[in-house]
Amino acid sequence: MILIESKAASVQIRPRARLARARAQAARAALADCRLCAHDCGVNRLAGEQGLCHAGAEARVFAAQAEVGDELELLPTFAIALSGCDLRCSFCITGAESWNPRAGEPLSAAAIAAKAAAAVNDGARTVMILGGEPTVHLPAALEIVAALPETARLVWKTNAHGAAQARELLDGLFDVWLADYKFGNDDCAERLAVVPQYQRVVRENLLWANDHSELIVRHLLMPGHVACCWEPIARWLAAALPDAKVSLRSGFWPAWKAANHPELCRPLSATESARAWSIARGYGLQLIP
Amino acid sequence: MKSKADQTKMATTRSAPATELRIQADGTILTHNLTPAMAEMLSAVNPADRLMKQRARASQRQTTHELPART
Repeated sequence: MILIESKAASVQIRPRARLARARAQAARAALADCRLCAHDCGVNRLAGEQGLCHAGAEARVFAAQAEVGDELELLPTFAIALSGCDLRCSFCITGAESWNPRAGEPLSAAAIAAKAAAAVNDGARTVMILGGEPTVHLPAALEIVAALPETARLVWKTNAHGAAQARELLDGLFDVWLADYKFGNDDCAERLAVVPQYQRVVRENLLWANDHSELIVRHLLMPGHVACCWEPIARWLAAALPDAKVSLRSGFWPAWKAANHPELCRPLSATESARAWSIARGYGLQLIP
Repeated sequence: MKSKADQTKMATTRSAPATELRIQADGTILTHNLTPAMAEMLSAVNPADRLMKQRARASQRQTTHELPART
């Protein structure tokens, strides 16, 4: 007997890949008047102009490897780190790569996706796209998604400073948004990361992400900033996103230009850490390891 | 001695899986970009660290512990 495989059965239907490919084209076109992040620069990156992130039209990658340092439910993850960021956090642990979009090596979406797919086959639970800040390289990030297997569980690791245009292009493509909420007030955000209107923008992104995907809110505890940053964040999360998963990170180390700010010249103290966890428990946050 | 250009390149590109460690004065070890192999090693160093044990256990999902992963 001869079995003939039907043509329909042999055609791979890859709806996420198709959507990501179309979105990647739209995102690339958007670089001509770049408003992907909330800085809203409006520069033509396709013509070589640079906004506040200094990123060009082509993405570069400075790390791509299997990792187990993120939230346990995401592990192991294959983490793809794109160079460049729209924030200027003094304490950035990858400052050399995040402040410099020309760091690392040119990105081949197909090659990096092949490595990620191999990692998934080897047992990686998720593929995480991060930076720097991946929003500033949305076309490349979406091209990676388009080249990944449909079954790969995708994590968008972001500083939550994207604009509505970026969110629309990301809608429906990532399973989890792992979003940083770094500062609990606009003064600290201005002083430590040179970013205006931080609260409004981050909250807008978190509320959107919670409605459109699974959301994990991450906060890196900073020495000297438990009362001014973590407490107001915890209070807002309890009121606005009571069911969101919250990841409280206590491993601050004084990296990059942290020495420009006296309070950031040391790690978190045990007292501060205990106080932060007490605040989290007091507000009933859904803490995850 | 490496030239300044070499040092810059080392600071901004990586050709092999890498974890950064910071050892505090009190002996606490902080990590960044924790790889599966490093998690297993740190878990062996301090078996009482339950969270690191969970990370090491998660890393055992990877049949290949260190991927030729950097671009």
